[in-house]
Amino acid sequence: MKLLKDVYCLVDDLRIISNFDYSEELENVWFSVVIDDQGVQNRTSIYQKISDNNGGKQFCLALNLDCDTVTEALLQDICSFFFLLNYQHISAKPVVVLPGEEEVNNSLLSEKLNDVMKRQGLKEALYLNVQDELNLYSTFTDGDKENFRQLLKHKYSAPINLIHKGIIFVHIKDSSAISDVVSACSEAELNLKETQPELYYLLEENKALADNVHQLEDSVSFMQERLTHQNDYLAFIRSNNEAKEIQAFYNKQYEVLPLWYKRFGHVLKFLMRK
Amino acid sequence: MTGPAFTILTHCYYGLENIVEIISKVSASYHTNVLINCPFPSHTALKDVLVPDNFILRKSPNVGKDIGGKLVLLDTFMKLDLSSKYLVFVHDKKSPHLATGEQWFKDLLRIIEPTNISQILSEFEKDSSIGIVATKSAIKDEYDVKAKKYLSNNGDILLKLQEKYQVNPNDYRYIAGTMFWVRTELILNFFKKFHPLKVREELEYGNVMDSCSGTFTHSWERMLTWLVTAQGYKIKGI
Repeated sequence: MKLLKDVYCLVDDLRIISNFDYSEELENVWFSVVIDDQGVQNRTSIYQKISDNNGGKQFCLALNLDCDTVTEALLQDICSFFFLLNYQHISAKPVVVLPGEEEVNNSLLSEKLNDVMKRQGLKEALYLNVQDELNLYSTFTDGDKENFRQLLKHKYSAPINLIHKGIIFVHIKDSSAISDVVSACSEAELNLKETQPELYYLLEENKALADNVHQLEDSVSFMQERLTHQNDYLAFIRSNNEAKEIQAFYNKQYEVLPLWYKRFGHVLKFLMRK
Repeated sequence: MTGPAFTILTHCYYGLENIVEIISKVSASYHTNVLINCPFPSHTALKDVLVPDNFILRKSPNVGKDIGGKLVLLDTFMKLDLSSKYLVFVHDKKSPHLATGEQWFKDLLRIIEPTNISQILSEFEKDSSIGIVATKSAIKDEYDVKAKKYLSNNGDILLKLQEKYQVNPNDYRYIAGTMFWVRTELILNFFKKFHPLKVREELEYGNVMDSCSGTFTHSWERMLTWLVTAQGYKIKGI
């Protein structure tokens, strides 16, 4: 199933991800593992569990941290997550969700993290701020199901220029909530398709093109990297090729000899049938 | 059931195909952990190669060439709390600037040929003072004892690193190409004190060379051996 909008399911407990049935491929649904004060304590165990899920669903981190208490060692540990194969990257940038409400804290936290990432050769992260007014954020428990539906309804009745913007973030407490979230989103989208088919079609096209752009940006980034390295190697080979040394050795040892000496050598070789 | 005797830490810059084939042969004969790092971005290359499920994969930007990749894998090894008596560092070295580059790579890879592995394991078992086993021809020495200085562009950086990390070996030989077997505890003694990713921050971005001036990347190529010899262990060439 392909949803029109990106949906990030924020999870505190990794069992939610491991219990999730991956039989149905849900496009545009992402898991975001919350790292808060408790997550900081358990970060190694989170890393180990996520690492087991090597080929599984892509995920990203949701950093709910006070920037004053964040240490460099913690930021390095966060970078380790970005090296995992299933960490979500968009346009070659690792995605980081910021669920915190304080804008200043989020901005300082992202600055600190970018600094450590740069030293690891990583591009700046793509920060998704949950509190951005264009985004939709909700917690999802059984009691909140109807509330979530209403929020979606409200989202899809916004003016056209706002509908295609924004991301849906849902804080979920158990794995069964994922299918409820997805069905509520598809319900809202179906309703939009029936009531405003042109708009739905445009949103669908817009989403497909945006995804395509991200993939192309990934490829461009990869190609640029390869091209730079190949240019470096070519320049190095041109200036330091061992063949040049061999040629210089040949010139010094043989080429400088007088012609009569070389000719005499040829005659000798001929006589010796070599 | 006992854990694996050794863990192979492999950095693949040129693509997974060849190295996965070589390592699969080893892991078919021996119980081993296999950790592979690929450069990022390179997602398309990863998708196209069939990698055994038990291989642990990582992707990281090209910082510090194979040394940076191996540090990412050491971080992974430590974070996953893996254990094995020995670590084996390998990578898909090409050295296109050397006329003998291909032969050099083949020589370095001798350490993971199944026929040589039992010999290496028995060398370690026989002599507890051996810390590193590598291809004999890869053991180099750039230290001029009389002049008390390094005969390479990396001399100044090496002196700084030695002082910073207090690594002072009596034996200045090192394994060129950074492909060798090492006792795990000796490597971890150092990296438990100095986080591998913190060390990685010092390394240069891209395919740096040390032909004109010294680099931290090439200096760490030497340091990785000296971490071990500075603890009083010796190098064995095969």
